[in-house]
Amino acid sequence: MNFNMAVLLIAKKTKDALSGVEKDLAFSSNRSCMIEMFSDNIELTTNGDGNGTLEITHNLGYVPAFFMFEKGYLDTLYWYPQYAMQVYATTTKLIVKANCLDANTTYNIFYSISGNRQDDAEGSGNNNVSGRLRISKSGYDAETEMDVRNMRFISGKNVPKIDEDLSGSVTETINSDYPYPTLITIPHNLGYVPVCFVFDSDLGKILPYTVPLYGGASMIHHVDDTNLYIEARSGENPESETFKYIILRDKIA
Amino acid sequence: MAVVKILKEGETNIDSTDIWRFNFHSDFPTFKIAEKGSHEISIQTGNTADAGSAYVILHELGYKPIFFAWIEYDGKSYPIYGEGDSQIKGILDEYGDETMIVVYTELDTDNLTIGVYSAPYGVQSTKSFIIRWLIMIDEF
Repeated sequence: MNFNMAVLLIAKKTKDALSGVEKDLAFSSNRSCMIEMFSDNIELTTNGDGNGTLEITHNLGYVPAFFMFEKGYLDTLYWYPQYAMQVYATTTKLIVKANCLDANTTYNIFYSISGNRQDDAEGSGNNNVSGRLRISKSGYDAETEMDVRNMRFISGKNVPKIDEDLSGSVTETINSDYPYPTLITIPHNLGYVPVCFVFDSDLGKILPYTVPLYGGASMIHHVDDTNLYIEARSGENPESETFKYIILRDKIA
Repeated sequence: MAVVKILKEGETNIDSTDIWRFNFHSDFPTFKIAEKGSHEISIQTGNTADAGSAYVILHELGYKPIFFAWIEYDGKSYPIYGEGDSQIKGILDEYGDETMIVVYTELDTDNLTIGVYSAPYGVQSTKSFIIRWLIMIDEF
């Protein structure tokens, strides 16, 4: 980190930007943001065999960071993190596949593709920097740099926005009875479906978490325009678990 | 408090309470990358998992941070969550049938572990994967 340069620090509400505690910052020019280049809410319709493919072209020339949510397989009312669909990124596309799901059915997909590589490595050859407020990575000139991989922030593209008042944690005893999970309901009341992430702090597992072959724990979250839901079943015995959840103001639908 | 707001292209109301209309809003913290990297892991012939099929990333933040991780095989990069079917297709087990490649992460206050195993049988031949990660300053 180069502390000889001028820095832009913005504290979280009620925090001190100069406290030296980085997690108290809403923004820091010393750190790279995840810069969203492409996002959309689209449909995938399967054929008579339950198969279907979506190809989303990003043409970044490298494999970008991304995440995806899906609606329609586990439940038609709620958005889930990618689970039933197969999704992968290549250097030019994001590919979403339905493999043997319900026949002749339309599923909803939300994707977010970052300008960041998956290892946030730098690179050259793209001309995709936009916006008037630009902060480059160390060694690059913010006024002339044209490849978003070499930028920490650009005002022309979206960055994730965490709602710290809506985010939090909840502790519950999780049912072990198959197939009846414990359902935890967390109101957000945003009136739209927000991006959200859930983490089982006791197990150290980000959701979804499904031990596939041993009858073990199964945990997944889903969301609608009013609530975040955590659906969890423990392994052999009921377990107390603390879930931490992050709700963004960014919109799935 | 003073607030810094940047609207998305095409949006005109800087006083909007629809926060999704903004590219940035200082009342709503954004993810800030603390650690990043990549590493090759592998499962050796006949094994379901072994010493080389998991990798421990030291973050030493003293709390459990938000992170994202992916695993690449055959030029295709898949997301990794807590644990589950990677959806990687085409890898055979020692009996010649397609095996399930399960990927997992485990996070504590100092480390992020990313690993892979074949279920239920070992792989027919050694398979290598590239894992990549972004660990945030921001706490779960």
